[in-house]
Amino acid sequence: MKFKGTKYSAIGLLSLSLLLSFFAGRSFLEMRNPKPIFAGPDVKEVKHLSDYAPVLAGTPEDPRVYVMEGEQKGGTVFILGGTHPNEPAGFLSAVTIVENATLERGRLIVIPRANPSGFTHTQPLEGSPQFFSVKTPKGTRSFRFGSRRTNPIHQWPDPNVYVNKEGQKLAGFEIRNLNRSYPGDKRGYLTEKLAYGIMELIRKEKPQISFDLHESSPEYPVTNAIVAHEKSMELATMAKLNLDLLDIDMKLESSPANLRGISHREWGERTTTNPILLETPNPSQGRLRGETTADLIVEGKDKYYLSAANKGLLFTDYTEKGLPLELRVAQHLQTVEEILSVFSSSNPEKAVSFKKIPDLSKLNEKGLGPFLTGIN
Amino acid sequence: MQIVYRIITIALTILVVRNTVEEEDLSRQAIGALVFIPLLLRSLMIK
Amino acid sequence: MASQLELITFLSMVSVFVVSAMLVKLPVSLSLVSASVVGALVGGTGFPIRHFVEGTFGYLDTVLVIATAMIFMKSIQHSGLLSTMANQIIRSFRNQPLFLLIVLTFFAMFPGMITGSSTVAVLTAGAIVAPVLINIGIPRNTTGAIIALAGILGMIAPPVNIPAMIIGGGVDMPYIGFSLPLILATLPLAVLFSLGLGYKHLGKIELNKIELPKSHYEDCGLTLYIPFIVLIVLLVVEQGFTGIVPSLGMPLIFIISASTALVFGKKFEVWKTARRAVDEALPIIGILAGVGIFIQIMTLTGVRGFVVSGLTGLPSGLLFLSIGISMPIFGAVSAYGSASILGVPFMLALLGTTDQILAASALSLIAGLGDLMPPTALAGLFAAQVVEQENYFKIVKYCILPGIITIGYGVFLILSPW
Repeated sequence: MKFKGTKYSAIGLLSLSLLLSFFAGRSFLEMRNPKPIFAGPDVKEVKHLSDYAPVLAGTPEDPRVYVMEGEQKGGTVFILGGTHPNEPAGFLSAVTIVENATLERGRLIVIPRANPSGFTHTQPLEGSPQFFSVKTPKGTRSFRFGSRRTNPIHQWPDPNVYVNKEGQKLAGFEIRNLNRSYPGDKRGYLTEKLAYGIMELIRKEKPQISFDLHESSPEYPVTNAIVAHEKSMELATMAKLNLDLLDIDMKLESSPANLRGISHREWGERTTTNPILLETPNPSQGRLRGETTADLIVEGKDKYYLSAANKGLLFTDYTEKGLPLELRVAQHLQTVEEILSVFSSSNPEKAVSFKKIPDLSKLNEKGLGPFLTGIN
Repeated sequence: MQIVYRIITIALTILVVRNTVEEEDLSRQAIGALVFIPLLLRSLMIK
Repeated sequence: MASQLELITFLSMVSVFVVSAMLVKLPVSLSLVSASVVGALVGGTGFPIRHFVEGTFGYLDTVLVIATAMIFMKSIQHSGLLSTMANQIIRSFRNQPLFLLIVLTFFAMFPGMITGSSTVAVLTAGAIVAPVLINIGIPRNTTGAIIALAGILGMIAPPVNIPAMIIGGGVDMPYIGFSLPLILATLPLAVLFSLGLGYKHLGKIELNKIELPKSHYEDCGLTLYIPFIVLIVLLVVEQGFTGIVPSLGMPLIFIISASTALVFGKKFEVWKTARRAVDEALPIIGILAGVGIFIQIMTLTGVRGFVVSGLTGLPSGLLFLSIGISMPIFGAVSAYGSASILGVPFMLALLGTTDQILAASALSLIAGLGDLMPPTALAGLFAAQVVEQENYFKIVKYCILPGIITIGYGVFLILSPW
């Protein structure tokens, strides 16, 4: 079909595009504003990652660092959430700790939004919602659902192939994936600088244990899993036994030695810390999911995952009840607690222990909302 | 490199707009308008 | 039935696309947009402006590569390099047409091998090879098919195979040890296809009987070749020294190479050439924007999940059938998309049943065929552009049999005992 166009029709069509760009642009910009995280009672100091790596100062990749301290001296533990902003349980577990946990012994250093740039956009073609909200006793509280990668607005273009500092060849877009960029590079790409900053924090604070909190698709073999470097394997094994007693299904996976650039490998190789990465199953990031909505993020209910589960294709239990966010957060927090308790009992002088943390029983009883009211 | 790519994107945006305005086929004008959207937004938003 | 809405949405998207493209004769890009608008409405998501616009970003990087590659092509065409090269290659190899055909096939694969992109291969080496093949007697459409297939096999051949990296990335398999399996997966097919399609047209090349493309070598000398040499050097440096030399990216490499054509060769007008290039690339760029919106809406409404879960949870016999059929079809979007959305679940289903690296190589080979599948058919589309054939279906037609052979060979590789 051919219609003749005129200058006016061209200008009309371009104006229509301008109008659409305006509305879409406004909605993209909304994601630039970070939602607040409220420092809880034991947060003694709020720093930035650039305090450890000045190269990050003034860049979009300068996350906040919350330093929590207990009454008694002990060891130091590092918790990283939000490496992948499309894995909300990892991020919210870190937020829940910052806002609620109190410590008996030791120090806790928490970064809830490891890749701040990743929180400022959603991945094209994934149809993701930009926000999701959790009901709390004081009304609903909304959070951003971001992308697995750094925003191309901040780091562009990608090369065809990304060869990371350890020589691993990856598809080019992985150059914006924080968890492929370790040990990072002070002079490298923005995401590599961020990875370098996190390494610097670990080198300077010398935490005995470092957690990287993630989620993965339910059809991916490494889900419901503790991924441990050789150094942390014994610790993880003991903790797993305790989790079994609580009926929390966490498999033990050893960090593959030939998969380089990932936190559990590079933190372990290059620092004194014992790295642990946790994965819970998240239907809102999987390939089998149906309609992609904010409810899917929070409730984890999806009919295609249910049918995949019935065919035995998933690596997690999945029923009509779905995989609610509060359950996934509980799984993270309980695992962190068990690992710290195993560590503390065998290293009493370096102990880090919670006085109060919203763990499985509390979250089961009250849900996540009461722990996200933003006040203490 | 961001700056270089910003310039390339802006240049392409201008080329697309010029071609669209001088285009005589309505459906090709519509394609121009479609392609204009991501080029314009990327040109404006890139840091 | 629980999936009724998704099924209805899917069918309405497909039918609006078909009606718009075939009956109303809207361009493919606009048909994709119409189908997406209807799909969003039927799927109950209203008129989601943010998603429509976000979808256009899905292939923005490819849009830049194509636009700049076209600028490069137009520049070397206007500087006289393209016809000079064809002229000289034909004259040097006039006595060994068979050898010439095989060498040119490998040459057409080369940019794909080092960049991992069939588009780049077809638009660069393909553009140089095409006039040579046409001049030695291979018909236009067959030539288009040869360079499209060479581009795809180049994309899959080592050292750089991005679909394999994507599939590996989804199952934690490092991109190590792929060279041999990928050579095995591609080289035999490359030789088979170029001979199969081209051999019967080869005769003795009699220079006085064919119309040779014009050589500008006498006027400009060896410097005429500089844009092409710059391109090759930059490509090799980009891929060979990743991590050591900062990446320029394909678009900048094309722009730099194109600008050297301004200095070396016949003079031409920059602005006019650039406008012409973008104008010619517009339908393709539009399709990429349209496909982005289409997928975004499929994912948003749950149609993607409906399709993917229907295809992946199959018993083993049907699984291979599904791999052979659905991966190329889904690849109509792009080979990379197919590798990510279907390749990863298929790979997960195959884990433990076969040699992982060989299976991932074979899956990447089958995913690569997506670049030949209408409506996008990137490789076919560009090959059509390069051989100046307006209807790319005429080229894709010659790729059907090679495509089926490729699928069969891919499934054979997955099933093979070694």
